[in-house]
Amino acid sequence: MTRRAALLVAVAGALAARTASAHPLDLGYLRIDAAGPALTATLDLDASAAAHLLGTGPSTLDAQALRERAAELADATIRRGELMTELGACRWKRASAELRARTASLVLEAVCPSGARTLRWPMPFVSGPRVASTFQLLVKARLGGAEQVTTVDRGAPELVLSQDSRPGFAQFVWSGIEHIGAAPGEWHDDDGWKLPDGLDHILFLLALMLAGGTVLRLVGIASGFTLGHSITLALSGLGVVRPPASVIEPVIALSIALVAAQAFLGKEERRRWQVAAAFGLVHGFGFAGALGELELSTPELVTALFGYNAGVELGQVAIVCVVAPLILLLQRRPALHHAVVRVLSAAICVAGMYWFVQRLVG
Amino acid sequence: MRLRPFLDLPPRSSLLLGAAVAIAAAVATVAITTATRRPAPAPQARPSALAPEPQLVRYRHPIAAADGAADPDLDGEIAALEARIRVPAPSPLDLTELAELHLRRARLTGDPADHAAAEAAARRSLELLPSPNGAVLVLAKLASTRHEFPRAIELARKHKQGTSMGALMVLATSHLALGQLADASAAAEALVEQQPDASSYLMRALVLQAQGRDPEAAFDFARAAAADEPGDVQEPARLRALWARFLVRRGELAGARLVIDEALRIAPGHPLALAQDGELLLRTGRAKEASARFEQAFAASRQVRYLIDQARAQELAGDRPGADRLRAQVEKLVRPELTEGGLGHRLELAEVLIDRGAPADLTEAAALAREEVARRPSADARFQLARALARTGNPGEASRQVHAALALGAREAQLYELAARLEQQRGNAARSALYAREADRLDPGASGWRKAGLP
Repeated sequence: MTRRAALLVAVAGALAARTASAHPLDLGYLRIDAAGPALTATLDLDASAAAHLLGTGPSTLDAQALRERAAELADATIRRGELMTELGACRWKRASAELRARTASLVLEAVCPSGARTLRWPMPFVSGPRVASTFQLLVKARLGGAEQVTTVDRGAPELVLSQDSRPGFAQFVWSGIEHIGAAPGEWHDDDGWKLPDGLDHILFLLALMLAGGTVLRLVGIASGFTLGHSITLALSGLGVVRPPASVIEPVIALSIALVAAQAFLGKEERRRWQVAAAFGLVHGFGFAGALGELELSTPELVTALFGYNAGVELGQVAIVCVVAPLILLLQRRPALHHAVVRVLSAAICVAGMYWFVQRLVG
Repeated sequence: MRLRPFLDLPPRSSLLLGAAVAIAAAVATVAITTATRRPAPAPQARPSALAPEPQLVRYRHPIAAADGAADPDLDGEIAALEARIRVPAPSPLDLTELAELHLRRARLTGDPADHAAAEAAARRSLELLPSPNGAVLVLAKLASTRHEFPRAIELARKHKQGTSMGALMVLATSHLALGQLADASAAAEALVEQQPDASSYLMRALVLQAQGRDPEAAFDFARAAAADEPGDVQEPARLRALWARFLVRRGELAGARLVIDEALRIAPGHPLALAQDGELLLRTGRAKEASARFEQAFAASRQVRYLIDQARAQELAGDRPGADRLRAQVEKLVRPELTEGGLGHRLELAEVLIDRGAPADLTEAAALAREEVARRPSADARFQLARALARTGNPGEASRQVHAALALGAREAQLYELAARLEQQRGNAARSALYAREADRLDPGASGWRKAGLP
């Protein structure tokens, strides 16, 4: 239904044997991918716009000519302005161009100073005489893992991109809450109820707390877990130790099974906080996975680690606040408590073993 | 029942009991989540009546590499004619021919200068020779390109009383754009009768699709493909992309996949084919891949339409902030044209504003959609107006717009979904269920895409 507009545009141009876009000269698309010092820019323009810029007839530009004149097209467009960072200019490497149907696609590679976080790129060609006055360039840039979308036109002919526009502290906190499965969205979405992604961490905590104890002991267990995962989350987040997920995930599953088995057998009741701390070390590596994808610089990482860890703690507190009162209540009926511990810990142990096998065999 | 015997169970029995509880809990969890969640997109069990025959889908001719220039002789021909008309009394036939060449180049390049040159040459020719003169058809085609459809119809009827191939194509296109389906149908039938080639069958298929005459539309799409000619592959690819669009919208997803794959085999970067691939991925729950496909379609064509689709797919993939950032850019791209009096993207701006959903956006979107319906009362325009009205708390009028769209023959899953919700709001449960069933039938993937942007 909502595609009818595009259909009608295509149909209205049906008299010729080709498809003409609605405003082919008016819109260009620039994609920028910056990973470390290497930068790749891809500019897509209508072929006739490229021909105008090269001073050739719009219907005579062919693929061979475009390939041969790639450098010239680059100089007439995005290479006209100097690509600068706060640490100095970038150095252009190679340019190549391809003609695909009615789109001229120009690819430029550059090397920028290492550690640069801001790009400043004037695009004087958008104001030039060979480009329509209504020309706009949509820019999509990926810098340091984050995506930015902006527009360059005659009114704003300079592109400024900064890696400062990153998730803030609050967003990292929420990320942590989500990862441990305490966010409401982890349990329910538009399609109905679902199990949270952090269910394994929740069951681990539950297995640790099942055997009960005083309030202080339960708090001690949660704190031990916090201590453990905070250490390895920091080590992994800072890149000091980064074991592969293929090792960590099965071990996390095994930890769940072992703790549940201990609860079942009634072992090590007095040292559960130490057990929590020890296995927390493993879980911390699991928590660090989400941060690794962001490719943050070191100062940003510290903020992210604090925020993310705070989020995991808040989520943990939420879980403990739900579970602990139930366990304390259950402890008033020792026989029932004993049975519930046995049954639930057996169930959690089976779940842990299932995950262990599943994650091991992939 | 007494608990003590159970509480005193030995460890081994407890373990077995625990395992049994775990298994029961797992089964219960699966049952509950399955019952409460929408089912995963299911492949179609059997082909529908619209399913295309594979041998008809296949492009039978050699696929030539598209490395050549658009029309290398065109510039030379235009230059020669321009030299010829630089006389005190140029021939009106030369002027008409020049107008046609400029229009042809404009169709290839989209250069507004060529549009302007075509119009100037055509008008000058008509001053010298009011009738009979093919220049009137050039003006009709230009009006159609500019979305001035009533004007295009008026001009086309002046060319051989609207019976020439060119006039009929303009009439069919313009009537279709205005939602005047009976007139569009008459023009399309006349086209096929005069020249039963791929473009005529395709035009008729599109009109039949708009009328909701699905089996006939499917037949004509297949006939158009059967009438493929060797040479340029862009037209056969476009035909298949439009065919796939029809199939996707009617819920014939397996057939659509077959046709899209062939379109992309013929012309790998064809924007419309890429967009239909994105549409199919969206309807089968692969929103992230769909977003990438729409982006490719945009890169290959710079059609703003595909950015709107990409934003929707991004949102469905869980990236609402990214979708809104993209919508903000779409708004920035299309607003200047509207302030300059251009009409081409008004409905698209309305759509983006509705998708974003802020109260001020919705009010403006409703106003834009109303203007569009007044100018061009197509099913598409009515649907956008209905969406805006429904989200601004005006279900009664929204419902009227939905029914007007349905009366035009539109049969889209999102339209039925909106109809179902509006009937539910108005307390008509049975009718709501009827529309919901129809929406399910047209959307067998049930991936949740059709709820996007609805109240």
